[in-house]
Amino acid sequence: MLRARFDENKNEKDMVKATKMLRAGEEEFWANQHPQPYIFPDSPGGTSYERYECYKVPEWVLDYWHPSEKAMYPDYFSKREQWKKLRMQSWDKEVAQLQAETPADGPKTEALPPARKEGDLPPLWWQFVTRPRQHPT
Amino acid sequence: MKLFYACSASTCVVLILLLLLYPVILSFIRSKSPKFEIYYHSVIALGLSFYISMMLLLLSLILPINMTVTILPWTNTDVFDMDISLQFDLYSVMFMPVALYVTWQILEFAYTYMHADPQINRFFKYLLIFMTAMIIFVTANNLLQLFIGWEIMGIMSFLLIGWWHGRADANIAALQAMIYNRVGDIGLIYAMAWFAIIHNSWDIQHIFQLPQNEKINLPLIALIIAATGKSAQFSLHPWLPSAMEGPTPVSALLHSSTMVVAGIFLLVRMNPLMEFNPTILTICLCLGALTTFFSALCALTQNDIKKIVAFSTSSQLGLMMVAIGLNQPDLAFLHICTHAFFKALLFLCSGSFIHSLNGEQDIRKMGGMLYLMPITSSCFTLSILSLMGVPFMTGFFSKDTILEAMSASYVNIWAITLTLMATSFTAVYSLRLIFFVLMGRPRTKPVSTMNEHDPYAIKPLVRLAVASIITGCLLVHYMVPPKMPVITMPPILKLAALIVSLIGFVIALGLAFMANKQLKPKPPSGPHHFSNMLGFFPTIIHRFIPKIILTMAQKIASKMIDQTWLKKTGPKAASNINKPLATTTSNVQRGMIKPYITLFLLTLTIAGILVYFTIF
Repeated sequence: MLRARFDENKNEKDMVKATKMLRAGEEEFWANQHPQPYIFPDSPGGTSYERYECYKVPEWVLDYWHPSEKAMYPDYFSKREQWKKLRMQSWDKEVAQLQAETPADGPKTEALPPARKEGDLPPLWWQFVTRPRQHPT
Repeated sequence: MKLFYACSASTCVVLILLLLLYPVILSFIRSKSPKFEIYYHSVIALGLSFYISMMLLLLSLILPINMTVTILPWTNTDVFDMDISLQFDLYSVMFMPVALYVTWQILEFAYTYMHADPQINRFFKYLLIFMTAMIIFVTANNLLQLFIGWEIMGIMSFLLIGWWHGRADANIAALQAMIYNRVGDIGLIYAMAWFAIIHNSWDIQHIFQLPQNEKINLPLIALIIAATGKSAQFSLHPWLPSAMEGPTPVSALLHSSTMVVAGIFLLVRMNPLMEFNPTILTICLCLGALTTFFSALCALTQNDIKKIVAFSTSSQLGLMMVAIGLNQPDLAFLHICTHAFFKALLFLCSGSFIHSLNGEQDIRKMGGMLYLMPITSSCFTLSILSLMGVPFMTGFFSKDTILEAMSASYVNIWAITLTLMATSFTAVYSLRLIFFVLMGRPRTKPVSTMNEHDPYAIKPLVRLAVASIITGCLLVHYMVPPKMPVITMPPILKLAALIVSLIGFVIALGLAFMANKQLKPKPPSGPHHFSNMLGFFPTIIHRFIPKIILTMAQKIASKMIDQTWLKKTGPKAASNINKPLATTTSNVQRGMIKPYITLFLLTLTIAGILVYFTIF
């Protein structure tokens, strides 16, 4: 197998030979790849990927609703201002935690760290909980 | 009697158009409609329209009158007259109920398929506007009305393919459809301009009265280009498989039954101009044969169920073009009508499978659907049998007749070979679909929501399945072909299509049952790669032509403009012109006596000659 041959020659010291072998390996990989690999529908390149992006609206749009529309959801909008204040209060702490924990040459992964101190929110928590639905209703 | 027919027919069409547009107008009047309000109005409107069109069809069968009815004068000048007029012949009267019935079933199915879509009202509005455009196109008696219907269909196709406009691929596919159709539209516009300039009329009845010896190759080639664009013939075909980005009801309605046949319908309408022109008929025949073979070849190795059906549609459109090339427009029209039923059914069944499997479209991840969804599987099988031309199904009456006509006529062997091979390939990819989707064990994720309890999903399928069985027989029984079809031929020619389909079926069955072991993966062979990459046609055309244009644009923008304004006409040009002058002048005045004396003598000589000629 290609991987086994790669592992056999991985300690090659001659760089010219190594480059030629790598190029030959890449050409063999390109020639032998599947013509139509299976892609899951929701994965990038799949048939349903980003299908519902046009219906995903950010949460700040709710601020632009007409009062008659907001009156249809009184419970939510009565609590919304309090939640905005909580978000503003914890924003600086979230940013400080991110800056402290991010390595100097940039983040290694997209995963966000959890909250470290009691009473703090995890970083970018508000964006996460108010993200749009995956599929529209 | 004629007056009664004219009044009834025009009333029917106007009523149909009003019924179709009523939900659209209602949605504009009301600021906010409840979620499924437009659906309920649409279904009622379509049902009523279908029954009205059936009444018109029955009236036309009882009183076989071909008639044009002028509704309103539109533009009347000294040199050019144009009216809003409708044509009621076999083609328009028969196609309307077919299109309306298919649309009705698809709309009912779309209630289930698009149930979760927040913009479902807009979806139904788009479909109704499309249907209105189709009716305008089919009943048009002049080229402008036809063009209006043609263009609106193109626009709605663009909007509906790009329905999920959050997807980049959907936007690309919508643009692709628009651009390829635009290239075809150039042909239609050229033909319209030609008829307007040479013949001073866009009225179809006047155009048919052109003298026989009139050289009309150019507008006819332009019409073929228009049909090539709209009906996805070879060279302007890549948009059709890409158009599968749209929702399945859109693919079922527009890109299999109604819009894609508009190009063929145009050629069927204009057939009186083409029937004595062997050059044009040969072009149609060769183009159609190439399209049907190439599309069937590409369908063999696809794994997306909708792409397979899209290529199948393209192949059948090629067959319709072959029928036109054989000077049998009525056979092409018959195939348009029968194809609408079984292809819409095929798409709806595919959509039902896809919806049940939570968006899975790859046939490698389907399987065993016969046990999981028996009714849908049965309808799927019926549509496939009809597509293959199994005797006495709907597709048999049109497809087999075209192939018989082809076998019995004096056409080149290349076209016949390609068409028969395409017929055999049809059987192969049809069996491939059945084998991967219906047979074997399920290869899907274990989903528990698969059921067939929803009547809105099942009833349209069953109705279309019934139509896929009986419509062929009914159409052939009641439709009197204007041209005499081929009746007598040797048995081998009569059975050629059936034998070829059977051979393809058996070979495919053998290959399918050989593929039950997992062998060491090998790189794809040349023919497989060629077929899988769609003949490399999109790869070359979509990269080559833009690359040339962009390279030229880059050269113009970065080099030519600077070079022109700086070097050829601007400051450098001034220095380039002045420098030799300055150099020559300063070289002359170097302070040496000889050049000064030479210049003095030269000036003296010129002055003397001038004085001599002045005095004498």
